Amino acid sequence: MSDPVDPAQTSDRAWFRSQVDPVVEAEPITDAWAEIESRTAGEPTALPTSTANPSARRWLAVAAAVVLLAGSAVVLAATRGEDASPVTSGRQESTGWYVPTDLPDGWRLTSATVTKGSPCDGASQRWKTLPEAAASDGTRPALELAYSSCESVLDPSGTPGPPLGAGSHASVVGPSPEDPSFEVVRWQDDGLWELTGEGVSRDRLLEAAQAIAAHPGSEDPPLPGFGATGAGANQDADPNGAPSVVLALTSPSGAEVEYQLVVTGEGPRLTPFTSDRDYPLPAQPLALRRRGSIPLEHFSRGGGADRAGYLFGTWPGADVLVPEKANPATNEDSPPTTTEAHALVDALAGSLRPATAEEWRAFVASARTPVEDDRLLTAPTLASIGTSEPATATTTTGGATSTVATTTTSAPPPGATGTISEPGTVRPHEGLPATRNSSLDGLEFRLELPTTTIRAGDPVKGTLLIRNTTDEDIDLSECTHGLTQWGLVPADSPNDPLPTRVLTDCSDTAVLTVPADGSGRYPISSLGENVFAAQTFDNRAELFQLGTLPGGRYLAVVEIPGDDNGVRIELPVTVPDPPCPTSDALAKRYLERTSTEAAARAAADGLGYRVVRIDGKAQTVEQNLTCNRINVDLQGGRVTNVLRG
Amino acid sequence: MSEDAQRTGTLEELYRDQYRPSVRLAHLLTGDRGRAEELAQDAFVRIAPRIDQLDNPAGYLRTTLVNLCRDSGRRSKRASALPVPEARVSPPPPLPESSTAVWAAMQQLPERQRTAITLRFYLDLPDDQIADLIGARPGTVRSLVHRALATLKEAVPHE
Repeated sequence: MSDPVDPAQTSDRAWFRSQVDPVVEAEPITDAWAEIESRTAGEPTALPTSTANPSARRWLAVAAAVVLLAGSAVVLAATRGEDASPVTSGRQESTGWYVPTDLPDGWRLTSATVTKGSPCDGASQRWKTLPEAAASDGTRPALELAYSSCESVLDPSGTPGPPLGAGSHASVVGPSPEDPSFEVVRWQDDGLWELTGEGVSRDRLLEAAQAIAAHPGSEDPPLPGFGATGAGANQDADPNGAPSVVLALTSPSGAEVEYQLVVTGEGPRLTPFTSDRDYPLPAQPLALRRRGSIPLEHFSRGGGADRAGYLFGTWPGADVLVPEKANPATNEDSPPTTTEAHALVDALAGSLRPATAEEWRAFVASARTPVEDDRLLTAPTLASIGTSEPATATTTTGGATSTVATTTTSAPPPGATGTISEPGTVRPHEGLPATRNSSLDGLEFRLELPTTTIRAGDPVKGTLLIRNTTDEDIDLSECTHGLTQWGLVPADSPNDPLPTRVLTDCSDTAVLTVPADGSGRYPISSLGENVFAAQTFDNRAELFQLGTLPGGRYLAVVEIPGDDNGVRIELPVTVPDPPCPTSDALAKRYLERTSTEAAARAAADGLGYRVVRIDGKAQTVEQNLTCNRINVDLQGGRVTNVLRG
Repeated sequence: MSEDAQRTGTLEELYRDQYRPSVRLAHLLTGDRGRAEELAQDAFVRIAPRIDQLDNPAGYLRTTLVNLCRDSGRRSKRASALPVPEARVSPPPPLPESSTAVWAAMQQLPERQRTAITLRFYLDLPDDQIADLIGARPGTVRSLVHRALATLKEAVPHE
């Protein structure tokens, strides 16, 4: 059944029904089945089928089922008596993510961004005194009405004005000393209204405001003797609204078309100045409407096509907007014609299908411009975007797991460009002192990472920032340096083991000297492996990376061994869910094989194969993504890393 | 049984359950009984081709009907300058005075208020679903219902 009705409204409901039921039940309803049957006797119009992969078709089936559940009934206990036939259906879960499927070759995602505030429509209308009603000096007082469907708080600086309809009060902003000819009335109902009068008395202005508030969609000027002179429309963003996700795609012809996702109900609403009509697209099984702005001539003379607006769908989990425009992305001298733009917009709108979180991430990860907002790669649903903050912090605090460092904390060393941890904490050694390690007394350690988002296949280098607070140079011995360990551990399980580097002899490792009362930037390890990777590890001397880590919050940890204690540094990072997870078992099937052997095995496994790095050097590859392919690193001719994608 | 026959059977079953409630809902939303019957029939016709593919045909039907009524309201508003046609049906039986007044006030409500209060108190839909249907926020729905109710209650003749 549906959510129960608020008991406080029970009496209102009863009153309402007592008033309207006698009217709607006054006349018998004649049978119309024969007419309906005859009208439906034609060929069925099946829902469009997709040529997409089976999972897309499965989603289509789900979409067809939920298409209007999102916008309609969980329960429609229709009426009373013999007609009472409650129909119950559970609201199906949806991510609110939509991705284009089956677009022709050549389309690609340009960017995916999060904008603050949900879209809302605005419009304005202007009236001026008719020439024949001009003042004796020839001046013609004017009115300008601006409307925004954003709900805003009335400007408290105004003088409270009279009621303008039920629950709506005006606020009058008096003429300013600088320009006494203007006066403004504001009020709010479904949106915010602002009526500005020029050369109009306050009484007349309020009269006009009352007329507009009483009949917001009226085609008549709000005051007699005025004539319409113009109208406009705009789309703004409600700063208090839910964030929107904007996806820009480039068509094969080089035009850029966008679509926008915002949590259901947060999209722009129909306003008195916008039109709304069904806009069925053969390729789109979900309901679409076209919302255009009504041109002035529509009011004044009738007729006139609505101006361009956007295609709009209230779909499960998301309001989807596809603006009716196409911008030239590559050739500004030849922008798309209106016909071309409409075709592109229709193609994109028709191709959108619900997506799982995994499908969404794979899509977003394919953007030509790297995604900057971490939430697009980690949020499981569109709605959850609004409940998380973007990971843009530049300084953060390491998890305190032990005593505070004995050294004096201070500002990070100069020259840092990334995200820097708090100073490391001292951790006592377990067991005997390590006599070949250095004392860490008087040293302050921090970790710097260029980013706190670490994606699978995108290793991030770390740098140690070491400050010497004493007046003597301090050497970090070969073994302190060589036995330093690092890696990612789950934030909720910080004591998980780090990769262990097996060194039988640390004498080949460099000695680091930190100058007296100075600081410096040092590699974590002299072995050239000072990277954090969002992968599990094979705990052998070679330190192979295996499968992908699941997405979530992690700690980038560095542990530096001293003589009778050590230092542990922690820096929180985020690992997005990998778009194509790689299992350890899959990685092990290919590691240490030659490229030829690995390619043959991939073919046998039904996977594509490509080499993305040779001896540490990145190869030029297309930035596309498919989960039916492995990407390998080769070192000395053998596979050292494997990732699907 | 052929697919057509099966589809017709499902549609007829839906018709038996939902046609009369649909007409009454449309009557409330449009204020016009004759138009309500037309729109209810239109809704059935629209849903017919895909009825076998829907998990909740009744829900789909009502959403279709609400949208048709809203479109109809917008069209009639634009055409309001035209002369009012003669009534083509005989007048309904006399109603209580208060119902007549409230009914008349219903017809004067802004379309969104009329839709919101109907969905709220006639279909008992929760705010979030009404919000989805009319493209508003739940807070706006509450406001619309509150204002509609206040307007209707003002219309009741005082003793």
